Amino acid sequence: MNRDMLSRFYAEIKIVLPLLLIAYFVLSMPYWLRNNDELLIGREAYNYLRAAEQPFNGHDDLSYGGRQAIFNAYPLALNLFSKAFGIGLIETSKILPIIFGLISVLLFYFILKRLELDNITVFVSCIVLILSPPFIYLFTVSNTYIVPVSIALLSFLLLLHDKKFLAYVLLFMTLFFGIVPFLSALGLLAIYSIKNRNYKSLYMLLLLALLLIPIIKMGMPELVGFKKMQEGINFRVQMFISEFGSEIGISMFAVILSLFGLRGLWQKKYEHFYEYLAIILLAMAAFFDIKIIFYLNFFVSILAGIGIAKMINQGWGSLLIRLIIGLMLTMGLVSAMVFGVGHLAKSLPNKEIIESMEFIEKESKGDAVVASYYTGGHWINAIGKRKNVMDENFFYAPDVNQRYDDLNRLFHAKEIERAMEIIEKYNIRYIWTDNAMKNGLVWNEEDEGLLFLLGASNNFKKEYSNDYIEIWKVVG
Amino acid sequence: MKIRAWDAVFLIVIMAFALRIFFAMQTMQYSDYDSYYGLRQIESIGESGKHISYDELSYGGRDVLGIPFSYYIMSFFHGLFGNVALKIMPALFISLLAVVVYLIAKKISENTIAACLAALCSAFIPILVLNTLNSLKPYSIAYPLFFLAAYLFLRMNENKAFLIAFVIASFVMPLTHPIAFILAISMMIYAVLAYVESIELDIIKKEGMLLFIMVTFLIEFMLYKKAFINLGINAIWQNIPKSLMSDFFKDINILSLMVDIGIVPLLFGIIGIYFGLKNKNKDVLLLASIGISSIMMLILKLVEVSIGLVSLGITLSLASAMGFDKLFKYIAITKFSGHIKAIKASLLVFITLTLIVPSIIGAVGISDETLKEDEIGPFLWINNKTALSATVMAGLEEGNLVTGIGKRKSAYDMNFMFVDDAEKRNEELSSLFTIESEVKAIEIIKRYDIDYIYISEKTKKRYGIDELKYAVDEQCFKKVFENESGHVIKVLC
Repeated sequence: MNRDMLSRFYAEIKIVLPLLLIAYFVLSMPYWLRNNDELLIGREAYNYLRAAEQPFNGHDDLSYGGRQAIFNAYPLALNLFSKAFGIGLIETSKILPIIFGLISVLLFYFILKRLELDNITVFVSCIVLILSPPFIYLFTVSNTYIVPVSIALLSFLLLLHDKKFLAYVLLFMTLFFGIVPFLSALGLLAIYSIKNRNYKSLYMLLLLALLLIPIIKMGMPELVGFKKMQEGINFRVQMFISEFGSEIGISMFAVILSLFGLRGLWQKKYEHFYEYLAIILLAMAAFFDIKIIFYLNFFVSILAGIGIAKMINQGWGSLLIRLIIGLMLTMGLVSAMVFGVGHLAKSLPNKEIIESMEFIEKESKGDAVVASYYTGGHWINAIGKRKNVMDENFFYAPDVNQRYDDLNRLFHAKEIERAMEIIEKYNIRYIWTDNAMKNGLVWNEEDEGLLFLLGASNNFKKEYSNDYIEIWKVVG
Repeated sequence: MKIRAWDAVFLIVIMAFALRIFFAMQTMQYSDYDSYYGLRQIESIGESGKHISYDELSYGGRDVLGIPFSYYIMSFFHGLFGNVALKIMPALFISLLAVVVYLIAKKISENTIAACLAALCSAFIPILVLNTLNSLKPYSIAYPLFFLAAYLFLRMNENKAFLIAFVIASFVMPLTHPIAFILAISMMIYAVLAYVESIELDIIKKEGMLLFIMVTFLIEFMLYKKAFINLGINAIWQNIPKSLMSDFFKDINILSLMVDIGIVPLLFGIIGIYFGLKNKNKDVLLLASIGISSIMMLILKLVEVSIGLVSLGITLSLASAMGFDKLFKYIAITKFSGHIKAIKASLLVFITLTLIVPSIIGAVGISDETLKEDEIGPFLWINNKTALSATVMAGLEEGNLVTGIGKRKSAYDMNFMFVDDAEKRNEELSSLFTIESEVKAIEIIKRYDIDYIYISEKTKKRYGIDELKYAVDEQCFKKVFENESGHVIKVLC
């Protein structure tokens, strides 16, 4: 390594190292604040935790009372990492996202350098990215998007270095992490290929798309007929903006800054047409699947970085205003980060849920079925180690709509005979309820539907309760 | 005798103040029920130094968002001068709007007489008088501050004092009232219009706009974060039930504009904006932007109709200075130039007839509708004779009287923010005045834990009833207070 290369290396290190340290600090904060070694964040993390125990198992005995398991490479990654470093799966579920987060920051940094953006823009864009709630969520909560997003970044960096073959191979790998990440990567690659007039690549994309055929061969999955989340433009906007309470949304300040960045880019008119196209398409797609915001967030961070750099570099008429605006923006971005971290730190499951699930594991028979609203399904499987009636993994789930309707009828049953009919149909032995279910998720009144029957009928016996949970055993 | 410009402005302020104070002092009460909510805030600040952030009485307890900066100011004067300050200070603050309008109008038209006429128009816009007369609502401070911020913005590039004052106003305005959003959006429109019209803006003004927009959004989102988290963009509509939306967010038409704003500001304002835009006048461009954002927000029903119309009315009054100036200049080159004084006097008479007279008539109407002693009686009885924990059901508009004078929990009132299932609650509680079934009535009464029902003559009129039909059962309902304006029923079962 000659002196020139060495000095360049040191110059890079001086920028990259603080970025990685900040990213590590931000990403590890939710777990520090949670202050409980046993708790993962959210619900899907527990699904992958359980799947990681046997990543190649074609049949899941617990989910939906037993169903076909769709292979996902993320649990495999958890499993391999756990074995390679000799650490437990819970620790792996916490560490692996953070490692991929740090890798993503590095890749993002080198992509921006490769795009020949100036140092200020590169640094600021990385900071905006690190402080953004979607980034914090993506690389804190154990979820399937962690690896494909990192792969997409790596593929893009390889494409910028003209290493096309390797980039395509990597993109092909994203298929094993789910259809949405795969299609997102394909879409972005298609836009990139058209932008560079590399039409031959489109054939490759077509070839990659053919990989979806085996899935089509399985038959189309049953479309979910019930409302998984609130509908309407208000809710969509709420999901998009972190200040509106979305743990996954982009900060309004980042959006405002990206508008400044957009204005800067617009000076070159249509030169960046394909970048605008990618942003518009990603934003539209994110309205249908909010997790696509993980991809959009990288674009927003670049634009916000350009916006801030423009503000720093431009001549200012008033130092006072410059100072206040700088302070406001910093406050805005940091407060979004604090909000995102705080939200994750307070996320379920809490201690009470874990204890209740441990009670189920200890007190129930191995083949017992536990009924709850589908949001509790993964916890019943992963922590309680018992079968659920349904959970959030709707993809190719057996009779998903029927099960939802049955559970709904059970929860709102006014006659014990109706309730018992459904209980017997699914061989339900326990009913698990939490405060979220009682406060609007399922019921609005204290003695509504099944809540009344649980207390009034001899067919149920309260086996466990704490401040947050009640578990009723079916004895009738 | 020649009247100097500032003498004329002083006269306008005195006239506006005299009108307001005359009607305000006719009674010890306030003209709108919302003022009683303001009174509670002022009393709370006076007693504890803090505003009410959790209202234990409204809906039996709910969060209150925002920092009522104007109530802090009122509380300061209340502490110094007592109850009389709550009548004088709002009237004084809103009357000072004429000074701000004069300053802006003088800057854009450079015509003293036109500016004085604009100030006169603004002081007597009917809807402004109707909305702020004998009222403790924050608008008396918010509107003058709104246009003061606009004035400071127009002059911020002239010297450092204006710049610093604008920066301070940028923080105070959003703390006073969310109407700061109207100015922030106006500035966005201003930037777009300037770009479209190829008008080069001073760099310092661009920075000023950026500052105001960012500060407004940051402060408002911080203050109303909980509302945005719970309701999303629906927070703009304050959780108001759909059935009542039309009361708050009405459609506007040209006739209502002429009546509420006045024909002079409307006509001369539009002429002023037309000529201002034609001459690419940057200051008029800002007024046009405020006008556009007010109209836009009114049409999209993003702002209460009274707020939108007042900001539009004041903006048109300001722009009318340009219209008056054009009229005078035009007359000066016609054969009527010799009669210019007569024309100016006629204009003054026309303003008096179309603005001042309707404002006085409106004020008389408001004064007639202000709470009378016998209307206060039931609430004073509630305050003295009922248990502290009692929940009282009154007409929706009278809810603030239950909490403000009666000092008891209201079953419902006009503040819907953070009320669970406000639509259903409003529907069920309103039905209590009309349903016949005693079983159903008791079910609702039990659900909302109601101890007393107050039926005023206004409520009877609103629901077209003489009595509560189910309240004939004396075992369950007992009339415990009665006077000319209504009666209170105690729920026994």
